[in-house]
Amino acid sequence: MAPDDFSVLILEDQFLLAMDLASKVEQIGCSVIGPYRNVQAAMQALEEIVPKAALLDINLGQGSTSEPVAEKLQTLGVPFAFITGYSSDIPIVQRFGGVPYSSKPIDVSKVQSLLATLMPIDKAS
Amino acid sequence: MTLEQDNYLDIEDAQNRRNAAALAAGNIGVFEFEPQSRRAFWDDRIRQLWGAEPHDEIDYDYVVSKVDPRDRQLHDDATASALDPDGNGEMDFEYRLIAGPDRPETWVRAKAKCKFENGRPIMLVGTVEDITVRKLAELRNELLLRELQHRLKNTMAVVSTIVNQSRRTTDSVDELAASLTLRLRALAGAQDVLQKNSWEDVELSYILQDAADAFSLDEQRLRTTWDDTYLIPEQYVMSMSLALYELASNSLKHGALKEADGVVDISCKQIDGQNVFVWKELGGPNVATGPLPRTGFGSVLLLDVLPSELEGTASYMAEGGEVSYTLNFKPTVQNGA
Repeated sequence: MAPDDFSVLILEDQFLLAMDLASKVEQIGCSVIGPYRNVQAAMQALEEIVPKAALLDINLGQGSTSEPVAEKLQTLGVPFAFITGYSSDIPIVQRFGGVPYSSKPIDVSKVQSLLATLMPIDKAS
Repeated sequence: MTLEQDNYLDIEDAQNRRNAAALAAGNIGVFEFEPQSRRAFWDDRIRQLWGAEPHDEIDYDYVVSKVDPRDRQLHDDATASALDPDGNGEMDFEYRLIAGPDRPETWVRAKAKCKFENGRPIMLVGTVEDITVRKLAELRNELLLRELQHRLKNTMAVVSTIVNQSRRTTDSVDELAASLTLRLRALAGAQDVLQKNSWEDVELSYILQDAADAFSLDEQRLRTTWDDTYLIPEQYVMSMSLALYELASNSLKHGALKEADGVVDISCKQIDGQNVFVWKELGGPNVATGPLPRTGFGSVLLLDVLPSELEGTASYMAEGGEVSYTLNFKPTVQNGA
């Protein structure tokens, strides 16, 4: 399977963090869909393309969270993980119990192990 | 049976006397519970607190029916534990009463002690206190701490990214240390500004003022023209601060602020539905017309990060020998005001 088939949607409102995460995902050999900065942009993208997996920040600023996108991904059957500054005891992580979670900051090996729980990426270069 | 007649209120220990004093203060009620009959006896204050009619018969099922479903297990466990002959017979826990359209969320603290005879629980006697005000304040504090932790970790992630990015385009360790220190100062400045603004959207002029103060630049050197207030969304204050520190530092090293009589004109205006921020250097070294060369993470900040986050466009260029940075960005909706 070509690495590009391992497409990962990224939802992160802070450009620097999104850029950094995107480059880490690419380092692992996956392709990036996005990054998207808000719920609206991510939802719109999901109308047109279904990624293999997704990495979601939780707090998207201005009181908004990635919860609607998480719900949509669940409906689509797309596995996803949260990467957040919150600790895992916040309601949204609890609500999606069993969804992998990682605290910020995150390094390449953590991105890799997180993605490996979502899809068989060990085949990607 | 009234409470006054009851033996178990013929109190001996100091705790119960304190409770009795608190009763008079009005937010504590007294209850008894007889495990064998599963009947409970409530005073008027508890009845009031729980919304029970004066003559309602109270049994354990009635009690539980008024407890918030989320805390029913807790209530059952606490009761069972207090009635356990092998335990210490004490009860002390906090739980929610069921809320309704005409009932706000109510938190109570139940404290009680069970009397045993021949190894069997005979009567549980105690108090229920309305602790809603304190509990809601505690929950607010928890929420604030959680937000603070989120911000702290987010900032650490930003720092981690800055380190990685700065490393790619910096040759010497000294240079790397200097550029990291500058950027950490910018992040610290952003925290100050955010804190003073209660972590809400911040006026651009405040962020600029912080940068000016950090480099000891007065109004003679940074001349500002502001025709309105321009709010920067709270989650992008860090980037704006990083960008302004970058501009000031660049100018002090290579641009107009390096010269004794060099100045920077800074303006923000609304033009065609966009906010236009301009940093224009005057009296600096002559620079060839055209976009400034991209020189690393500073350029990324100014030309990629900020315009992307603020949904606009940016240019950093020289014209007629003078350097200017222009940022067009989307107006934010004024909150409050």
